[in-house]
Amino acid sequence: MPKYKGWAGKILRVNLSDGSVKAEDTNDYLDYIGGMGIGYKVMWDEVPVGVKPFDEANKIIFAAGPVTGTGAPCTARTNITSLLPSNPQHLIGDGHMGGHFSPEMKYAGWDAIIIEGKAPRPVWLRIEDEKVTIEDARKLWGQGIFDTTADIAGIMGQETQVAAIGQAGENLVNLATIMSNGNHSAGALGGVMGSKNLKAIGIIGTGSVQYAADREDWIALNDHVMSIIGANNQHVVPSTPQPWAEYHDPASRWTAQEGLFWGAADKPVETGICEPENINKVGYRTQKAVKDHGMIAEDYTVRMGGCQSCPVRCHSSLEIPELENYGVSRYVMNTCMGYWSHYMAMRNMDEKSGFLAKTLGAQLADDYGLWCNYGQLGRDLNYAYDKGILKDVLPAAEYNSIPWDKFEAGDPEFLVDLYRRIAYKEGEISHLGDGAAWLAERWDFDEDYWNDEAHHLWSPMGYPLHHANESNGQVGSLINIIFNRDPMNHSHQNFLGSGLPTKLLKEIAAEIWGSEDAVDEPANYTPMNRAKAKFAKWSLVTCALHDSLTVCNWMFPMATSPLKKRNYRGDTSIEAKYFSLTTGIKMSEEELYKAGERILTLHRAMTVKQMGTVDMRNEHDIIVDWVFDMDPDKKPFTPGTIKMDRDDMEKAKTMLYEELGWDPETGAPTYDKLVELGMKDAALELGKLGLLPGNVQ
Amino acid sequence: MGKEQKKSIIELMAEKVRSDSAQAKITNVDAFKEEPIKLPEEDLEDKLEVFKTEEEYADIKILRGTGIYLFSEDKMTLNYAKTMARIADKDIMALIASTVRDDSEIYPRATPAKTFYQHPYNIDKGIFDDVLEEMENKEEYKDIKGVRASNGALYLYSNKYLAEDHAAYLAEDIEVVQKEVP
Repeated sequence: MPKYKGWAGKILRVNLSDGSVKAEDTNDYLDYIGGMGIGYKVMWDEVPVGVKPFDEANKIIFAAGPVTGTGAPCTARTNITSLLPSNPQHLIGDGHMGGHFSPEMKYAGWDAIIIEGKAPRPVWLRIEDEKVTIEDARKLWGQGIFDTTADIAGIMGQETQVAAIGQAGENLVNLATIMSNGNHSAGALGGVMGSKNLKAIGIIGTGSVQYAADREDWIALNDHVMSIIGANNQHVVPSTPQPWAEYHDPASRWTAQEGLFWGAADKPVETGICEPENINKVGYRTQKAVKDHGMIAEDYTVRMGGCQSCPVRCHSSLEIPELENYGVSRYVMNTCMGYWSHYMAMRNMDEKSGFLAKTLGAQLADDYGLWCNYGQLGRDLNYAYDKGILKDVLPAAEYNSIPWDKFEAGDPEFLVDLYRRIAYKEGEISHLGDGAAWLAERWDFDEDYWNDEAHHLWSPMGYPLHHANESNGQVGSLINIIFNRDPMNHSHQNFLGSGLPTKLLKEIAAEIWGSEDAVDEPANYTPMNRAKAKFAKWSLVTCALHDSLTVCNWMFPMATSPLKKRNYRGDTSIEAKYFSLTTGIKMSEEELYKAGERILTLHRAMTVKQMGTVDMRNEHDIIVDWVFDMDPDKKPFTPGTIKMDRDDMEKAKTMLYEELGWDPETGAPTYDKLVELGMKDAALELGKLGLLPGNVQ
Repeated sequence: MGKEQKKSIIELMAEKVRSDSAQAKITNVDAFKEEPIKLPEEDLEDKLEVFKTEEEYADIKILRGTGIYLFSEDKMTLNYAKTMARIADKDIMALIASTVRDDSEIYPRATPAKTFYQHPYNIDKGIFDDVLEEMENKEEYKDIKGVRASNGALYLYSNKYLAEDHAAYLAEDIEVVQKEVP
């Protein structure tokens, strides 16, 4: 029986080597909440240093938190933790996906699924509530994700939720995804499933997730959230001037407006004016297809889609008959980088060919289960091509077999050839799927690869920037140095991109982080200050919390709202209120943030342990040179540049380490901080390894 | 019908303003000269004074541009009403300049030229290009400058509030950077 409401109470452990299936108690993990927290705790406790991602000894953990499955808005995220194949040191990391998978997992009675070992032959995991079986997947092996998902649903029933890998994962491509619902992908860890011969997990759950609160209190909180919710990414102003709106922002994802339609619906649906008070139109606010593709997409838009229990529909469902010319379905669904990354793998495109490249690429990559490393794969291809490197590293026969004429002509069909080669590891060019750091080493990229801002590399670990120095300078930069892949953190970005004027954001910043100085005008930065460190810490901690609760970090924290009557203030206490109402454990915002700190600090401790050094500042938290050398005719902190200053950035690191209670010199967790966070065992283990700052034993 | 006849002129005026605002339109006082209100021109300022002073009309606000406009702030924000008034004034140069200056000062941001081709501005691109060229030679619009993102998209800014480099980055950010880092 679960000790508290919210959690299902059990964790499923499946050993694919010996075929054993066990139920364990979630109560052992409550300090780590769920999702990411459970993942890190399992990895810390059970995966020794030196294990590699595709080793039998590696584990992969699918986990959700207590709020998922309750029906609270924007709470259907799944966190997947393992060792990162694309990271050159195979450090710990996560992939995250939306969809319907984790609520179904909770309904089946499981908070998490720990997969360990390696099956002797391809298998898939069948979960029907408490009944768990390991099934033969030899007939599924070799298939793409779409057919696999359909086949498993055909066996288990159409309500089945499936997380599957495609050929990329099977073939141990480092850049491989795990996919649910055919378009919700968790990047980075598909190869780990492949290495375990695990093709898919299918789940049907017939139970429910209970919350502790009185029904009226629960509904009141839901109503409150619905009253302050914005559009996708918690953008709180519309993209065009509208009668109800005091402000607007062309960059906003609140694209609904008069005359803008879901044009390919059976009867075209006008998005129209969506006043904030009309909660029945929240799902119309984000016409994401035109945001991702431009107005060309309006007539192809069937509808918007998204995750279970989310009123904000951020995935666009399109019908594009021309896609059938490339041998794929005319129906495609995705969002953001799920479309854009394929555009970046091409060149010389016009509006129509660009649209087709994005949608065709999505169909191909989502079926193969190929990950773009947040757009880096395409940039790597273009770099290697432009530098003539491909001619040097590819055998002539292979080079000549690649349809470069289509690449040069901006013909989307090029992607049909390219993605097949990568997913099946055909030839040398398939190493584009290794990830940037491995690729740069293999193909001997010059320093300019790392140091040209056009390539967007952020870290020597081979991941690109993801809302980094372009997002409030030091704040985004700090957020981009802590994790072992691109940070997947939108806490800061949602706030900065809300669409409100900087003056208003500064007022709100002063209320949350103590000073208006936490926020600068875009590209008009000031030197580092304490409030920015608090902003960065808040962003990191809330992101870790969201991936543990598990709620959507594209919508939470709701620090702003679309309501003038609230002076555009949101409510950062919502997550703590949901946690309290769900579990029955009364927890303040501050107390919940402490749990977030614990999870973030455990990630840091694991990274220290894996790297075998406490010197995170100089060994891990490294930013490539272009960030400091760009715009050579401009100085940092002048209007019009996002160039950072090296000394200032070191100061920024120090301040962040201080805010997190980590050692200000090295950036490693201290003994005292680990003990304060209830992780004395971790402190003692690091001490034995000589991996505490100051070498405290 | 009898009930209609009992409404005072000021009530009819308020009704008209509120109805227009609910349809996202501002009300030009010229509309009051027509049936059923038929307000004599010499009475206009007195009526406007009523709107300013009587509690029951507190939602009705007055904007003065080339024309005089009213709107209900229960149905429309001041910023939107200002935009609609500028459009109603039919002075495209002033409309462009004031919009660009507001964006540069308030947010701050550079203004995409395509904004003006779309609702609610709906300016023909050819006319917009001609007007922009004409503005370059007008002293009162000397602060309005253009800058292009690397994809060729034109953005406008006011150099009273934004430096050229700053405007250039902001244009590049929305046109290119936000698409590469969505």
